[in-house]
Amino acid sequence: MSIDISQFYQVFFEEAAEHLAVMESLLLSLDIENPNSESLHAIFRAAHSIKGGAGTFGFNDLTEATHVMESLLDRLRNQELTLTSAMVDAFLASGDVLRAQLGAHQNLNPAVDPEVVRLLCDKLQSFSDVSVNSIILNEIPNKKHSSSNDSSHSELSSKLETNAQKYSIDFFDVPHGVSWPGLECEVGRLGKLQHDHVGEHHTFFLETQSPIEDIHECLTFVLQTSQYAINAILSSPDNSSYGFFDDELSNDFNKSNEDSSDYDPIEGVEHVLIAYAQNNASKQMANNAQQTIPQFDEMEMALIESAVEMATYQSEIVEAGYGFFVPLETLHAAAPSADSNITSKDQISKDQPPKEELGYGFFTDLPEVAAEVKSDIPTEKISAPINHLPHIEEKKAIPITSRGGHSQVIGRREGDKVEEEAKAGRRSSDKVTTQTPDNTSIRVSVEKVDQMLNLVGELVITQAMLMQGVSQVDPTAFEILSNCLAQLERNTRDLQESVMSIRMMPISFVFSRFPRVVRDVASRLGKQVELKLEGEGTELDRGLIEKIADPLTHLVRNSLDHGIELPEVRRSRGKPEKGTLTLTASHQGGHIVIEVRDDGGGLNRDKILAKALERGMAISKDITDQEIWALIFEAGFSTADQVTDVSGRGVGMDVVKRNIIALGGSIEINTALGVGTSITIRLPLTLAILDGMSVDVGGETFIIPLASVIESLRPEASSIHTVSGNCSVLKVRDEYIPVLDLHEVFTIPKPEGFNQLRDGIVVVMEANSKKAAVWVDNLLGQPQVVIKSLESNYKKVKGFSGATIMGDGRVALIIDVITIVNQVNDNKLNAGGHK
Amino acid sequence: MSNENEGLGREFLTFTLGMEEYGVDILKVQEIRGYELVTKIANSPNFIKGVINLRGVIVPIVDLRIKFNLSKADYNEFTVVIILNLQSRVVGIVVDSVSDVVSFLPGNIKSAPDFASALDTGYIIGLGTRDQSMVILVDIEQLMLSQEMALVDSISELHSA
Repeated sequence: MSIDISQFYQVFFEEAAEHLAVMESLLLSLDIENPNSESLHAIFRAAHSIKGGAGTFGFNDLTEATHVMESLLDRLRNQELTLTSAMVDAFLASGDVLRAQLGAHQNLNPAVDPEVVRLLCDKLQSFSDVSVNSIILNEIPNKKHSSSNDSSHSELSSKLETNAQKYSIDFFDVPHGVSWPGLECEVGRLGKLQHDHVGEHHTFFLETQSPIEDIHECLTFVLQTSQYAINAILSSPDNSSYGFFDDELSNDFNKSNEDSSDYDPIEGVEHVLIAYAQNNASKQMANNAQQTIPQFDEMEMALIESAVEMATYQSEIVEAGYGFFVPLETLHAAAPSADSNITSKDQISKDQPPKEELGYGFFTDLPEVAAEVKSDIPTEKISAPINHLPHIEEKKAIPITSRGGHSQVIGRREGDKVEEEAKAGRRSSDKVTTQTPDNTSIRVSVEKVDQMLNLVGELVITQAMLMQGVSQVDPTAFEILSNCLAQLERNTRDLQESVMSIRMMPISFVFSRFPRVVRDVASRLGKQVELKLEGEGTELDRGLIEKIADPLTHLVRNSLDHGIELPEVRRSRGKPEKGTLTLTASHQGGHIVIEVRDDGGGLNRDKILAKALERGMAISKDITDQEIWALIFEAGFSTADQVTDVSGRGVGMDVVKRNIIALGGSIEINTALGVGTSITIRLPLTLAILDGMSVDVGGETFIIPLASVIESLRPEASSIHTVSGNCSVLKVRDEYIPVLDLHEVFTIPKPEGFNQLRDGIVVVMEANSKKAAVWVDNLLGQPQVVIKSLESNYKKVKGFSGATIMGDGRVALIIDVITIVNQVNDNKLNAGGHK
Repeated sequence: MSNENEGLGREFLTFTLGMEEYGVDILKVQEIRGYELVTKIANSPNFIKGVINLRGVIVPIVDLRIKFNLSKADYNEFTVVIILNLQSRVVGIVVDSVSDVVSFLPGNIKSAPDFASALDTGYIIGLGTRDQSMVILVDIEQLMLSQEMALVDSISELHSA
C-alpha cells in the first residue's frame, strides 16, 4: 500500500530551493584561501539534504548531480583537498543546473540537457580525482612513522576504514508513504545493497566502506531513528554486532597488551575509544543523538577509569578489559541508560574486589581520586590522561565538544575518528537546531494570507460603517455602545496590522541574489566590484518583493556595465581599482526607499543631450539636469557605445520605470560625472492598504494618496495668477504651481456659487518630483483605505489608480496622482507650443 | 409558463426595456437587486452609470435603456439591476423590470433577420415567442464583453490611453 507522495513535492521543491539559496550564499561568502570549515559543512549539508529529498521522491537526475557535488564537498570539508576558485565556480554552476532541474520537475522550464549535467559532473569528478591522489601521498609518510607498538591499532583502523563492513538494517513501523525503491537507491549509493522483505518486515544487507554515520544520515532523512536499527555484521548476517568486539577488538587488545612489556595507557585509551566509537555508532540505532550524548560522558569516565586501572595493575588488565566490554554488551542489549552503566560498574567491582573502592570512588568523585591515582603511580604517561580529566569533567556541560578534546590524548588517526564522531554529533545537533525554526513557523499558501487580508479589509470597512451609523445617535444615551465601538476600532486596526505583518518580508529575499549577479557580471566584464548591502532587514510587502526583483536586477546590471569602469580606467582616474556597488534599503515615512549606488563614471549630460537630439527629441538647450537624467528612462534610449550581452540595447530603463510606477512608486537619479550614480526607488509599504485623504469634488468623494500630498490650503486671492488667460498658477511661498480644476477634469458640475479658486481648497501634490495643485470643494478626512481593483470587473480608468469602499458603503475612486500631475504638465506643454 | 415543455429547453430570464421584451440565459444571472446610488466614473460613456459596492466587490453598472435608446431612463424604487456573472467578471445591467423565467425549446427560437438596430444581430441568439409577444434572446456575454460596451480594456484602448 502506498500513498501518493507527489503531494509532498511542493514542500520538497520549496526546501530544495531554500537549500540552493543557502548553498549559493555560502559559496559566495567563502574565503578561498582560508575556507571556514563551518561553511563547508553547511554547504555539504545543503547538497546532502537536496540529495536526500531527491532520492526519496525519485528525482534521479537531481540525486546524481548532487551526489558528485557532495563527494567533492566531503573531501573539501575533511581537508583532503584545498579549495580553489575553479571549484567554487563549478559549484555555483552546478547550483544553477540543480535549480534548472528542479524547475524542470515543477514544469517551470524545459528539461535540462543531460549533456550539460554530465559535463559538470565530469568537471566536479576531476577535482575529486585529484584529491584521491593527494590522500595516497599523505598516507605514506604517516605509515612510515608508525611505531611497532602502533601496528596493532593501525591494523585495526585499516580494518575499520578500508575493509568493507557489512551491516544489516532492520526497519520497524515504517510509515506507508516511504518509497522503498527510493530508500534502496539512497542507501545503495553507499555500497552493495541487498533488500529482503518478509511481508511488512524489511531488511537491508549493506556492504560498504562508509562509516556507519553515513548510513544513519541516509536513513534519518526518511525515517525516525526509532524506525530502524543498524547492526554491524562480521562475516555472516546472523552474527550479532557486539560479536565484533568480542572476537576482534578485545582479542587484538589483549594481544597488544600481552605483547608490549611496558604498556602504554594512552594506547589503552585509544583502543577503548575505537571500540567505543564503533559501539557508540551501533548504539545509535536504538537511540537518537541527543539521548546518546549524556551516556557518552558516562562511558568516557568508564573508559578512562579502566585505562588507569589497566596501567596500574598490569596483571588484571585483561580482566579489566573484559570487564569493560561486558557492560558494553549489557548496555547494548538492554536499555542503555545511565543507571545500567552504574550497575555494570558494580559488576566490575564484584570482579575485582580489591580495586573496587578505588574504581567506584573515582567514578563518583573525580578530581580527588585523580590525585590519589597520581600519587600511587607517578608515571608521566598515566598523568597525561589524568590531567585531562578535570578538563573533560568541565566539558561535560557541553557534551558535544567534549569529544573533540580527546584528539589530544589519543593517536592521530583515532583523533580523526573521534573527530568524525564529534562531527556526526554536531551534525545531529545541527539537525535539531534547524528543526527548531520549523517548529515555530508554518508554511501557509499566499492565497490564504491574501484571503485573510481581504477579509480583514472588509472588517475594517464594516467597522467604519458602524462608526458612521453610531455617530448619528446621541452619544450620552448610547455611551456603552460608542465605547465598545471605539474598542472595536482599536482591535480591528491591531488585527489589520498583524495580518499585514504576515505579508511583510525582509528585503534580503531580493538582495540575496545580488552577490551572485555581481560576481558573474563583474567577472564577465573584467571588472572588480565589491557589493555592499545595507538595511537588508527592511521589511516590505511580499507582493512588492516579487515585483521589485526584476527592476532592481536591471539597475544593478546597468551599474555594473555602464557605471563602474574597468580597473585600468579607474586607476587612471585615481580611484581604487575595485569599484563599489551599494544597495541600501530603508523606511522613510510611509515608504520603502531602495538605493542602487555605484562609484563609477556617472551620467554624461552632454552625451545624453547629444543622443536625445540625434533621436529627434524636442529638447530645449537649458533643460535641467533632473530632466536630462529622466531621459534615460525613455524607451529605446541608450548611450552605450556598444551593445553588450549585459545591457545597452536601450530596452530596460523604460521598463524599470514603468514597473516601479505600476507599483505606485517613483524613481530618481542623482549623478555626478566621474564620481558615481545613485538611483533611488521609492515604494509604498504595501499594495493593499493606503493612507488617503478624502476630498469632496462636486458631491463626489475621491481619495488622494496621502503620501503624494504635500499640503492643502485655502488660497489667497493675491497668490492666484493666470497664464495665457485660462491656466492658473498658484504661488506657494517661492514656487509657482500649476492648478488643475478637478471638476473640469472629471466633468463634474461645480456647486452653486463656486466660481473662484478661493471658494474651495487647493491640495498640493507631488509625483515624479513634479508638483501640481488640484482644486477641490472640501477636505473630508484621512481614512486608511483598502485598495480595490477597478480592472477586475471593469477596466483601467485614466486618472484613477483604483477604488475603495468608504465607511458608508459607497465606492470612492482613488486619484492617480502621477497621471494628474502629468496632465497638468501636458497642458503646460500645450500652452508652450512644444507638443 | 404552462404551455412550455419544462426542462427540455434553455431557460431565460426575461425583462423589459421600454416596450420590448428581452431574455438572457438564466445561468449567467447572479442576482437581481434594486437600483442604488452609484459612484460615477469620470469620462466614461453615458450608459455606464458608474460602480457600486457589491459586498466588497466593485461592480460596474450599465444602463441598457440608455445604451439602446429605449425608454426614458429614470431611477426609482422599481428600477431593477440584474447582476450578471460573465467569464469571472461581475457586471450589473439596469432594466425597466424583470418579468419571468421562461424555457424555450430550440425549435421555438427563430433566427433573427438582418436589420439595422442599436443591437447588432450578432449578439442575438434568436427570437422567441411567449404569449403572442416576441422575446429577444440576447447573448449577453458576447454583448457585455464586446468593444462597444466599453467595459473591457482592449489593446486599442490601451494605446489611446
